[in-house]
Amino acid sequence: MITSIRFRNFRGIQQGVVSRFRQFNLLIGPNNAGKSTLLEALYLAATAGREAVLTHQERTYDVGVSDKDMLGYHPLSRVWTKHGLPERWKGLGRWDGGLLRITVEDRESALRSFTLSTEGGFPKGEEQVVALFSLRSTVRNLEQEAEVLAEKLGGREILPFSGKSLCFCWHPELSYHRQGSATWVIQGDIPVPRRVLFYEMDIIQRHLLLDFYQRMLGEIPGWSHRIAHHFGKVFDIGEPFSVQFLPPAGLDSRWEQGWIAPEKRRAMPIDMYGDGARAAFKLLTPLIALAELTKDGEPGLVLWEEPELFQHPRTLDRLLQEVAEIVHGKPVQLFISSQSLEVVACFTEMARRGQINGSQIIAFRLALEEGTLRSSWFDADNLIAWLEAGRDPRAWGDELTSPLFFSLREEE
Amino acid sequence: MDLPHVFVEGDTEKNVVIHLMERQLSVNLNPGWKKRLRERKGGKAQVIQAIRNELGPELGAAPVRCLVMRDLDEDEGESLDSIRQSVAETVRRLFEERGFAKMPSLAVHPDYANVFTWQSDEPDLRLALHVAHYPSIPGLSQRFTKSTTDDYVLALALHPRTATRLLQGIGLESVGEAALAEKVRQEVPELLRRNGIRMREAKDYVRIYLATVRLGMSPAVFAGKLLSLADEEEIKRVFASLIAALQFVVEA
Repeated sequence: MITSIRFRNFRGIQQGVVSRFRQFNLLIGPNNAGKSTLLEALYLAATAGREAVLTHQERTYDVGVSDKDMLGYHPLSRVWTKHGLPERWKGLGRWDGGLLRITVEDRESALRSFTLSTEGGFPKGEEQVVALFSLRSTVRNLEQEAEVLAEKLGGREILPFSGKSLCFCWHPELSYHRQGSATWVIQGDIPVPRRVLFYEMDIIQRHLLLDFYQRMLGEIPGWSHRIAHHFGKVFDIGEPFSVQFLPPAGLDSRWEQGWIAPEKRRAMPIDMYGDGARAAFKLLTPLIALAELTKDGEPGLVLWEEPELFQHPRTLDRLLQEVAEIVHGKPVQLFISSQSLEVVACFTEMARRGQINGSQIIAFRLALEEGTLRSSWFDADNLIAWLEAGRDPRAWGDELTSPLFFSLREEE
Repeated sequence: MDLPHVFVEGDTEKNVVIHLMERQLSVNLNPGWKKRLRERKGGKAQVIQAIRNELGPELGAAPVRCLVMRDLDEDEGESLDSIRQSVAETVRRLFEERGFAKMPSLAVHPDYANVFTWQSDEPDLRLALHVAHYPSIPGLSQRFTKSTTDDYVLALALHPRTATRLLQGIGLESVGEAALAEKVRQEVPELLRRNGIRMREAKDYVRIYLATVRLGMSPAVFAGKLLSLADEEEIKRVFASLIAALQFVVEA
């Protein structure tokens, strides 16, 4: 399980630490507080699992570079396009017969130039999508040398390096004030890229990649049936129906589209339903697979942006309960960013009822002040006390008018 | 101004604080402060738990202003100092949990032995502890083994000017404050004693007071009503220690 993250110059965060992560991690707080940045940092770190060798000043280090995530997407491209950047970025490095020669723009960086190699060599074009490596304290890395490099890049505060993983990113657009490089350090067990699910708005518009669909069909027994079971519960569907996947009309053969097929009516593609149904379907589909693929020692990671998107509060409540049920007893760690008090209240209520273990839930109220990320945590007891007292964990004092405010005014 | 948290054990304390605030006898606060005032029924264990659960997330993230009101249960071996140590230990554990290496040390207020205060810059915290410990109620020889906010309420209710105002307010001027005081202090308690019923705490006298003036309300509601009509100077005199504690909490 990932237990903490420390930032240096990544996107809008110049510095900051968030620790005490648990299985269910809610990220709350105002806009531009660092919630999405935290999710993206975790996503990029966890998907940096393709083996490579970094050479710097005649020393070599085993590192990881970005690999495809669970759904089959290239993580860096996904993050870039999310922020309006092109899928490929020239100037990140130079391809040299299978090697990548990297020059870091940041003049302050302890690592200005180095090479990356991989077994079989990097194909031409990779120099435009490889923009970070992950350095882990593993047996293969000489621990002392890895620690020296990690300290140079991350500072003394990351020591001891044992049990940690350092990400170094040289894409200028992803660094604080375009400084040219960013580092972040994660403590704890990081899953492999194929067990990392990053679910954000963009996924709702997409179909499943054929490669992902075929892999899951082979690995997850009764996958479609289970999707139908959980989807039916979320939307309280009484009539029998099944879930099927077919190539979407008019698109190339790389994709598969989900269909809802009622027994007594014509089937319809999920994308013809409302956005709430589409959003829930496209979360449940990979999540059910992910939960099935994990076991002790092979954890999974879910990064979920704004579950409340398109959902009526009652549907949202049921969706969150289904998610909790799907990952129950599984080594799946969830990071959920939200602006919704309903999301906070639903998890709090599940903890109070014992539906999820109260010791496995924590909420972080994040705040970003002049580049410094601050966080304040709420465990289950804190959340219960605050909600019972009519207080809103998303804000201090009278910063906002929440529904609770009206309830209290009535009481007074 | 930062809204104060007020941790109390019951409705009487809650109503007293609300009315002290509403009459602006101590400080003039943003009306939103009422949202922070939640009584913790069930006693001191709940108050301690509430301090941990409600203050924790704010420590270090926002200025925290906090008043803790406690009864003094001498019959259970409590003393002013043991309560001070208990609250300091609660705050110490809270600090430890939140990563602040500080040892809270609550100082005795220069004017009131039953008020303890502590101030910290990092995290930004002002905390006052008020322990109910009213010196003595005029005309009442009985010493209670349990000191509560009802001691203060009773002292105020028996004050001649306040009692007169109350009787006028409910159309019982003819009873007279002296006769009322005599019944509450002597006649009814003596009658109860003769029937084997012992008076244990000030709340018992408050109930006699309510029965005598035929007010069908709880002692907690009565506390609020009393503070809304009592003489300002008299309130300031009786509740001087509590007002001092509140003022410490909300000082800039």
